[in-house]
Amino acid sequence: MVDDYKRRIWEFILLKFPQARKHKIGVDDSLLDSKIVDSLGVLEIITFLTENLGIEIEEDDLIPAHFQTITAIYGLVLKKTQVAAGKES
Amino acid sequence: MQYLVQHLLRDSAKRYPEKPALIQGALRFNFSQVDGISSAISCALTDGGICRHDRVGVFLDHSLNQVLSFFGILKCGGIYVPINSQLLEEQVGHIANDCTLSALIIDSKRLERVKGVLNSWGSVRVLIVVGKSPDWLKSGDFKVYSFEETVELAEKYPAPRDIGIGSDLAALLYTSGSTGKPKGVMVTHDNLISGARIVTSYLGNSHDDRLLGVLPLSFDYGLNQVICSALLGITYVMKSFVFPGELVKVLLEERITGFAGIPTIWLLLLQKGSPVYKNRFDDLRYITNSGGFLPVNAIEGLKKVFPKTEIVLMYGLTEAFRSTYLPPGELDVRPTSMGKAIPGCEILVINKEGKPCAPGEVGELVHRGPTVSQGYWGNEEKTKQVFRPNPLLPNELAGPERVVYSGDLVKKDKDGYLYFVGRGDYMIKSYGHRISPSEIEDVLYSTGRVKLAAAVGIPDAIRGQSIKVFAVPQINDGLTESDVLSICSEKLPQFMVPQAVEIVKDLPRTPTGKIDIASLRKVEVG
Repeated sequence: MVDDYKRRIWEFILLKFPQARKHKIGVDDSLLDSKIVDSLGVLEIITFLTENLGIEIEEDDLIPAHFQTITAIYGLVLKKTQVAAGKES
Repeated sequence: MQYLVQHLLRDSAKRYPEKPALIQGALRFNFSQVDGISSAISCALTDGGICRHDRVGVFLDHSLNQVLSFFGILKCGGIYVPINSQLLEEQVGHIANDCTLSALIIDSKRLERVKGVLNSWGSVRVLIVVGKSPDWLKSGDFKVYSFEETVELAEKYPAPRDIGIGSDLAALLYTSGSTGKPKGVMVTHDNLISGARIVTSYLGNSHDDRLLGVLPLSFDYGLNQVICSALLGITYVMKSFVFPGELVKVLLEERITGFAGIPTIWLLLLQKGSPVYKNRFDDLRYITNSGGFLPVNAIEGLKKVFPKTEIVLMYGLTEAFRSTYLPPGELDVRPTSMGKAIPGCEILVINKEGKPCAPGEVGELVHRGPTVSQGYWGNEEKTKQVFRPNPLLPNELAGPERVVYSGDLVKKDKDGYLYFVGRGDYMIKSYGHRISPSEIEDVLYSTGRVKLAAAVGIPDAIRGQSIKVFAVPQINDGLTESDVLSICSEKLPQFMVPQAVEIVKDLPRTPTGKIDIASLRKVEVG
């Protein structure tokens, strides 16, 4: 299921950010430097991660490195799900 | 005597030559340098043939170059026309043509954005370019100056002599209404200086303050912070941000004492996971909110993270700059109030009969005072609608003075404090931007694929309002929601691209046959 997350994040980005669609953003293209995603955009991504993927964003997660590309966001999701799984076991 | 805005800078440069005036990241200029560099920019513009009253556009990112350009333009007698950094070529073209810009200060990135249309703006003849000038520019008829080379020559230029008086226009601030394209609000030097004196008086500013500038200079209150800083010799720290941590860092590192924001900025700062919760801000003397209503839960959140900081709620509109503020002592008593008139201004609440409203009665907010601007550039009809004689005075006393009808509906309580009720029209306000629905609809109509379109503002917890577009496709056109979003993002800046689209078969009509926006909004609000 987790592997599916990357695709879902990608789809969400393309759906929510028309500029991402216009520039045919790939998973390793810049979202922040290209200004496709601004401060409000980050908030929208976080809301998506929380509501749709069940990711809890905590302090220290809100850094550019976690949101620079779709791969980076996926990396954050992986880290969070592994931490969550670790806590449960 | 200080009768031009640049005199404020000149006098602060004399008083505090070595004191930091402008800071952005590692970039720092003291007051003497700001005065010198702006003089150099002024000389370049004069050399290019720019004269008194000529309009000079500034299309740059949120950077200190904007502040330097502002003072440079004023010093050569020009009129400053800030252009929102997010605009695309069509909107920039509207401004350039509407006020017949003579010169443009622009960065190389944005120059590429307007490359295809620059030549069609017949009036622009001088360009000051930040960054490398592209080769294609050399083949044009423009006089081109390098911003960086101009700045380097700063010490070689003498201070330009004064051109103009306080009633000359200093700026055109483009802003939207409920219909049509943005209009240029004409602001004089007197207006801007009054605005700075009034705001610094009720915020109790002194030269010890350090202001954080995140608001764009194309927004009147963003520009005001720069002028307040020049007036009192305050250090102005400019910042653009994506993550709340960046704001927290600059607040602490630069020991910020005054922070002006809009509701969306506070909500971003207060979002879950924000480092604002694990820091103390002992230097922060006050924060001010403008550009929209701040929900009570956000006020409570701000009180918790800034326990020692005064929270000042403000209200204003570009046409009259600032109108009201709520003294911090009243915040606990009336957190939903927008306060009372700012010092030296008068706020009237006028009903449909043109009479003053009783407490509790809803009427239109009307502003009177020294910050009232001179109307809309080249638009006498619209100016007459909004800028009118004082309704409460006989002709002899009202004279030629004009008051501003805001279009905002408000009511007063028995103590005279004001409360925002809503707009009298369908203008959308999202993320602090005034957006005309017709500007979005026109983009859709221009494709020929849409029979009817309506853009409406819908209450949104973060943005104030979000934008929803209802579109009726032409017969046999398989227009999808995604198509509408693509069209909008192609032609409109990001803040005008709708958050939601609904393809519908028809739109409800009023008895007179117009699209019934009220009922569309009602369905959305539920």
